[in-house]
Amino acid sequence: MYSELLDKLHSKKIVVVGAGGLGGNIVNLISRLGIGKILIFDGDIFDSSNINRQLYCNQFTLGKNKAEVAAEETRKIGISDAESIPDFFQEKYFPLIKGYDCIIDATDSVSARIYLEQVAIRSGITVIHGAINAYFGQIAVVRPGDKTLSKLYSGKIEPTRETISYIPATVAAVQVCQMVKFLSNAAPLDREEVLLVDMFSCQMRTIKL
Amino acid sequence: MIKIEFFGLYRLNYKMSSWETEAADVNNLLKKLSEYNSFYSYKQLKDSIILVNGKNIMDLNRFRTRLKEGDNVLIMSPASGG
Repeated sequence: MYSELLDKLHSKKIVVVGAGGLGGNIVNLISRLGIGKILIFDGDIFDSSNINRQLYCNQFTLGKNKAEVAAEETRKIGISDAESIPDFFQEKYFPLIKGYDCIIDATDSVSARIYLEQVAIRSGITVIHGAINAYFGQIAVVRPGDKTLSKLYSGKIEPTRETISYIPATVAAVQVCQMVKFLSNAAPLDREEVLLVDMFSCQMRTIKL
Repeated sequence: MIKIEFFGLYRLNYKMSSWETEAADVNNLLKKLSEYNSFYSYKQLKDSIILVNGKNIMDLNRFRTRLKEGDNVLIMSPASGG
């Protein structure tokens, strides 16, 4: 069963938007799953404030582009093909994501996430959403046309508070789990369901928006 | 009594994961909560995701959604960092 799953994943192509706290952990996990191709977007560079939680940030990568470092690390593992775009995902990149199987949301703002909901509609590609704040996070599988992110971010959102290393790692792992379940038709989260993660009380629960 | 469960930053800022009160509707509940603990104003609380017995109040009668003894309310603030 495990080898069948890996065979399925080998033919898949994944877009990761953002290579910071969530994105670095996500790229690391999916690059060890045998995913065929990983396309990574991030226009940002590593700085010393990232070192507490961003997997690929270290003394050797400070000042380097996050997407380029993530792709380089993936190539070092030697399983998946990786490509980096040292820029934020935008209109001009639509042709590049054609034929991809899913997009992983590892962005860090409400506006970027609302945009990804639109990208899902326009591209027909499902977005695996994840976000963190302090000890908390949420994960959702946003199919094209779902209003999950518009509903989540309909009110004024509280500013992001400082987080620590195991929060992005935990939420990233659950996102990758949902990605695998989605790609292998193994009962991923339903439409407009959101999995809430609370690492303060060590609880998870699913709600329907 | 109505049980209110908090999720996300509400848990940290209120320093409690749940609270119980009596309230006629969601509007009344949010007013009572902002009076009980002033960390969030009534206006700020209205920006939350609110579920009554697992259903989003936006699909019910919004802030006028009636509450009755034994109802479970979940109030959460979504995360947006990455």
